[in-house]
Amino acid sequence: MSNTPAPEAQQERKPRKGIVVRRLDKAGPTAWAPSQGNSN
Amino acid sequence: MRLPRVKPEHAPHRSGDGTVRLGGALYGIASEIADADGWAWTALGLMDGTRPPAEIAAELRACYPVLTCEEAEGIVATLLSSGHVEDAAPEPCPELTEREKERHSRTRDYFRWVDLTPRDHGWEPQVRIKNARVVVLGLGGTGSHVAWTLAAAGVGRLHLVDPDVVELSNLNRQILYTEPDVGRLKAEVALDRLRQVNSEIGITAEAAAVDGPGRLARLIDGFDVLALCADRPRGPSGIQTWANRVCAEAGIPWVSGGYNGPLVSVGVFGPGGPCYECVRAGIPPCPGADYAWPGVTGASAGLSGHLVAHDVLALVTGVMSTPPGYFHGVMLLDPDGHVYARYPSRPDCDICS
Repeated sequence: MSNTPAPEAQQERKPRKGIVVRRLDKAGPTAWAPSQGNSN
Repeated sequence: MRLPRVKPEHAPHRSGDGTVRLGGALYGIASEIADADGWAWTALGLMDGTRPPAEIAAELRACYPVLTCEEAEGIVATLLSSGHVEDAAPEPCPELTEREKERHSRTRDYFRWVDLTPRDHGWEPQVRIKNARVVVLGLGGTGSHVAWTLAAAGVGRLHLVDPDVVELSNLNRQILYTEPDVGRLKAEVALDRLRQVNSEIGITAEAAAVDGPGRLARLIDGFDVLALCADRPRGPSGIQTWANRVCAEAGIPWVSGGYNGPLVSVGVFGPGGPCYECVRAGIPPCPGADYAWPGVTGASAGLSGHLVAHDVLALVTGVMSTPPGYFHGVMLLDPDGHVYARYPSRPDCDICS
């Protein structure tokens, strides 16, 4: 007897909902901008 | 984390497609979250320092019944570990006095901004700085700036070493000395000056030359970091190599800086990374490279010293993006020419392999 779930059961398993935090690196065109409010 | 609050410098912004940006525009710090459903935006709005994580997750789920409890808790946990959130609960920090907290409040704000490691409280980097013990070897163009910066930052134990006296030609760049100091020992003047900058730390000084690795090994005994700001003796068997070996033997990191005209470069070495001799061996030989020419301005010397001090503070706080084992720097004649060199340990290196 196989332990493999039926295709229907696999389809019912929903991916967990969540978020992904993606750190910006310097390759991105909008990843850096000079500040217009530098402190001194 | 008891009462999560988005760090003020990392305040979230949302674009039209639902993307949430945290941390402004500084790469290495800022992040983006694809958030078409609004889960992250809502959770971040709830992170205002008034409610614990469990309550945030419960309110998030109340807003979005499509989320399970586990999913809502997962979203909150992801944000708490992102580096964009701090704990707004009162900070018990008996290691620092109220006066120290006032003095170093801007340093705390800086590390809150750049430190992406979740901490028990925001003063942790400053406490580490206070507990640090650093030797500054050389109090010239680089070392005078290093010593001032580390004293001002509140490094708890500083030892300053230099055999020379102040000369008039030093005053174009060596920040600790003034005209009446010409002829006096740099170590003595630096000690006086830095005690006026910060009387709450332990500073000692000696007018001594380091004439070999044995002397250097004794000098760093009991210290956490060496800031090498002396350039003699030069060459492959010189003071850099002494530092490489004695610091490896002692198990402490070291930072060295200097200038070759407009090229300001700093090396950061320590346990866990390729050593100075290995990185140096990886750099292609360059005919004519010579660090002996005396030309320097207060700007190039200051940059050298402040980069060294920055790396010392990075080492003692642990707030650094790149592990030791590299050179970096600035080429002042080329605004696009930031210098970086890292090469792997040589297989036969008895120091770092």
